[in-house]
Amino acid sequence: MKRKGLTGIVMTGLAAAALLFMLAPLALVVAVSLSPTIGFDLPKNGLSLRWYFALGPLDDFWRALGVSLRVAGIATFSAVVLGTLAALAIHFGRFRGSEAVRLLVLSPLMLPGIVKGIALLQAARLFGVMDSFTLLLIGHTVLAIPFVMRTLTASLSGIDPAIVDAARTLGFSYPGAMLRIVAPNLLPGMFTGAVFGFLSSFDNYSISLFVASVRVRPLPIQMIQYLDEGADPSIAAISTALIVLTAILLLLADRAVGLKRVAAG
Amino acid sequence: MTTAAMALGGAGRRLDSFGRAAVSLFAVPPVVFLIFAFVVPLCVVLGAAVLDGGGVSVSRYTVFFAQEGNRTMVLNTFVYGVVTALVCAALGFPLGYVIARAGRRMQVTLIVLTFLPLCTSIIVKAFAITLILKSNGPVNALLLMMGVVDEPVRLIFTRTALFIGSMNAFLPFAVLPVFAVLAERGRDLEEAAASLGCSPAFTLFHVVIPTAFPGIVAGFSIVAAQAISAYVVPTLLIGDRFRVLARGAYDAYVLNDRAGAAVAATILLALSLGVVACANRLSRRAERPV
Repeated sequence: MKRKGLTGIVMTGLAAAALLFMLAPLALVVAVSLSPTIGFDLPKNGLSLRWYFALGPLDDFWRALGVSLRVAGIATFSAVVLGTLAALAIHFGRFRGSEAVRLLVLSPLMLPGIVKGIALLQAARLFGVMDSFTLLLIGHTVLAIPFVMRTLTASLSGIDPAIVDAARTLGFSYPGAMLRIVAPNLLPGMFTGAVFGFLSSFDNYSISLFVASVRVRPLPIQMIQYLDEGADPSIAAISTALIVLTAILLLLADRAVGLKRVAAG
Repeated sequence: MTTAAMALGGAGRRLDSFGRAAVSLFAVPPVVFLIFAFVVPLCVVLGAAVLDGGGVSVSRYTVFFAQEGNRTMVLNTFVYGVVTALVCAALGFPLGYVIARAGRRMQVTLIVLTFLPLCTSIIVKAFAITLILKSNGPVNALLLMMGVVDEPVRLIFTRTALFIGSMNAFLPFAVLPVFAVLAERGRDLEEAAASLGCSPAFTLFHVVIPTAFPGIVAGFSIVAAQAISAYVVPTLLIGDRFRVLARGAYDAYVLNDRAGAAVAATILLALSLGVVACANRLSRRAERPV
């Protein structure tokens, strides 16, 4: 760092304060989850895994976790397939309305979650689709597609469309060129898109709020209920697990393409 | 091989245009899926809000706005969304700037540390704020220690809690857009300004902030759109003392009021798109060369 002056010190101080403000509450949740007392306190006399063991017999937690993992897993897979198809078509295809396709695929990001939830529910009632799991899958796939598309567009922007023509000249068939030359360059982008799509589904409440049922209830909805009921610090243990899961997935995404590129894109 | 390719040149090119047409067809499955899973449902909601008997009417909106509670709810949502977004954009700018100008290793660390709260479940963040603000929590301990108050104050379920919680939940979204803009631009200008003898403060206000402005506005837009449609943060941190549209829409759904939910949802949508559109206009006008 070069000469900073008062302005530099003020900016650094504000930045540090902002970072602390964002991270301190998360650290507090982790600390509370390790406290042996029931009052959501900071651990004073030693740490305890009591609230983690308390999760063992909590059947509705495990059921909700199972629903969330299944929905997020299948929705992410579908989103990766559909998002990759869309990104490839827009980048390599020649057709009118490709800009409209791009807007359509990205637009779910811009609309309020609650609106998507109500819309999906009302359409489902109209067309007689009543199965909660199916509706969760549809809603969460819509949610995850833009993330895949966005990171893939960033990966594709580094690929010259002429590379396919070059591969053709070397004797590859067109699909062969796409598969052997282009696809390997896309895998890191697909993975990062999948990470963000997975997290967006796994943490979603706004769509699930409307289409979940008592038996098919994803984890965020279950957590809102625990908080409403004024639960014990097990909720801090669940939250800590979610923070750790998020951190692991982010580090993996950082290794795949670098979060810097995601942030700059 | 080369001669063969050249001989086949014409046919190859035709094949390539066939290949391109085939790749264009890849767009069909995602477009069809999104039309059925996203566009049609949106149309259904719009229909439920404005179709009445066989005609289009705005009567549901006049009924909605006739009730004072609903007018307060819309105003609450608007003020809450815009204020949260303004504060987050202001607080997010310094961190975005510092990340953009940090050394390589530091930069990666700061980016990961910003992504963590960004991607953490909003329910976890709201829960964390309840822990911070509870009567025997750290904020009250600090206030007591400093002698600001004599006994713990109730912070939770107040507007203070709502705004602190919202800023905490949405601040990360306002940081990275500033970084994205400043990572590519501005460094040369700042060095030029410094070598011309401009003070750091002058450079900040006349070079850095104008350069970062599109990023600041983008952060504002993202936060505003999210805060306007927020449900979890207002529900967990203030409840029915401060009703917002997302809560109103959900309550209408619980009461099985299909049209009511649709009306609230469409107003929510209009508010969110309207604020974002205004912000983008402002950004574009500021970007025009002077």
